[in-house]
Amino acid sequence: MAVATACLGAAMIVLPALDLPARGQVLTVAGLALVAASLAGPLGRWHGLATLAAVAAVVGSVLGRPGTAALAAEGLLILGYLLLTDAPAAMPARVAAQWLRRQLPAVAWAVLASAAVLLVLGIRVPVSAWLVAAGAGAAVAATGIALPRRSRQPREPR
Amino acid sequence: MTQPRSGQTAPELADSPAGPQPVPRRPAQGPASVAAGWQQSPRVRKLAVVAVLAVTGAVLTRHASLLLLGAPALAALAAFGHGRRPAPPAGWATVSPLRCFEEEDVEVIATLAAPVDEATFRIELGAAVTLVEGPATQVVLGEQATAARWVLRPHAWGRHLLCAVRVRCRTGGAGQADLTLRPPQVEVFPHPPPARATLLPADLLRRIGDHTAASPGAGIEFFGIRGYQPGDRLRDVNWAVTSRLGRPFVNQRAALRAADLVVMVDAFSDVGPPGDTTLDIAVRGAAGLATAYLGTGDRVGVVVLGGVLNWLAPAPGHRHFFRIVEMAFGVRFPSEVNPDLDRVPRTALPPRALVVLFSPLLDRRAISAVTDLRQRGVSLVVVDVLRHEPPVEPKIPTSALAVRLWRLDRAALAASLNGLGVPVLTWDSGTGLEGAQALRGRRIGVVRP
Repeated sequence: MAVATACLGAAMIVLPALDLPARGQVLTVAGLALVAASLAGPLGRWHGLATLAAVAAVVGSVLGRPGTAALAAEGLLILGYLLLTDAPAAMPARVAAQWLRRQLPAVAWAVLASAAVLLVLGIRVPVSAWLVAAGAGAAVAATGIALPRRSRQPREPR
Repeated sequence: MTQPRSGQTAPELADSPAGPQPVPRRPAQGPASVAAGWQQSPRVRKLAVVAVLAVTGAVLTRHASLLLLGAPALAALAAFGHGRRPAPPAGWATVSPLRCFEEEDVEVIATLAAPVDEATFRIELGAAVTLVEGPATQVVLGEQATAARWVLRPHAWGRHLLCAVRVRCRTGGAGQADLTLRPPQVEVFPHPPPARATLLPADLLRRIGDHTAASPGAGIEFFGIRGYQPGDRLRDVNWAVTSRLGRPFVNQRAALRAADLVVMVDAFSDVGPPGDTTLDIAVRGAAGLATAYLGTGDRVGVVVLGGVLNWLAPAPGHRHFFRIVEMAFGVRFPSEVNPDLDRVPRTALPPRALVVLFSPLLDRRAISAVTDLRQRGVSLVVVDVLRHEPPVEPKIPTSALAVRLWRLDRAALAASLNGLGVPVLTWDSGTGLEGAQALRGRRIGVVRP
């Protein structure tokens, strides 16, 4: 499990580093150090280290602006790394496999979300007043559906 | 009383007046833990940070493709948040058995009241306890298991908490709750080292027992010969002496008498590593002697010299061993009070009893108690239980000299006690008490002041 986490963490840092300028490689070094520290050492139990490593990866992507496919892969790598750093320590292989199976729904939802965003980004939508109106209507409807409704008081018998 | 066998637990012996009989073990349950409320797990916070950062970056840079960084995290958050949140978790920890001897195995089971999606059980061991079976951290997933089991081995006697179990419960990936389960206290009895009832006072009691007295009686061992008197048994006639001297002589046998033993434990000092302190060794030695003397039908009592002067009057029988040891459980009590031996009633310190004091001879109050007892004419033996010398500090040039002076001081103390008629035995707790006893003659004389 630790090896897989290290691989995902390193890939998460290295992938945006390919498009970073020379000055930005400092971020790569810091990110790799954070990944290493989150896996071993006395600070390994502190969850903030993994978060900082993921933040370094996001900042690297924002600065480097890699391609769309690379960004989609980067998002999934960050998710995988964060999920694995949250795994309980000292699991036997059977329990580890069971734990990984339990993470599959979240990963599947993440893949679907990435695919949806990729699809939306790929569609060329012309600017249209009808589209704006439809979007506003959908937002109002979604808000109306999501808000909790006030429970109706039962009528008193006459 | 027979020597407690390994694998035989204290309750089995205690509840068997006619000898060891098996008693069904009943696991004891600790106090139920306080129900912990669900909180957001660190995983949720991590994913939320990444998602917010990615969306903010996309908005600020007007680069919509950066949403791809946060979309998986947002989707995972939505997936985790789905589902109802169960009731706050609760649980308990059980220990079996509740009473055992040192180096015996104890089973600890931590159980959750209701299953959770993921539970991580981590055991934290107390001092002088080792883990024999089961990993320290155990993870159980799903509905099938809500319990974890360990086997522990205590190395120090006493009534103490062997461990605490920390449980981290997670539900749906988003909720997390921590709770601590504390099993009940376990009474760990000291393992008595092998000992024999060979130390005896000069004057034995009138009661019939197993010890050979220095007076003629109806025993087994040869005591002497005397002239035949009417009523003597024919089989007691010593034919060799009779034929040589020309008139009848009979053999005399030594009487068999009982003895009273009072074990004193010096609880003023307690130095050494956990599980092997001078007090641990002293109580083990006291248990060994009590076992040996109770096994020969003698009466054994105990006096604890400590902050609170405790005593138990001499009594025979199997059950008395456990009374003695249970009283010793409360000896760790730091105090500056001087013991007043006048407070010990005559029944607890009978005049013709043999008193064996287990002491590291470090505290002046214990040494003055020895002097006091000796002035009362009590037959007294001191067993030195100090095993570790003060360490020599290489950086301090006078350290070695100080340790040497310390050794000389202890030798002078032992010599002065010997001068008072109090033999000092040195006992290495790694061996039985028999070795220390063998260095000494059988009878401890009484010098009346």
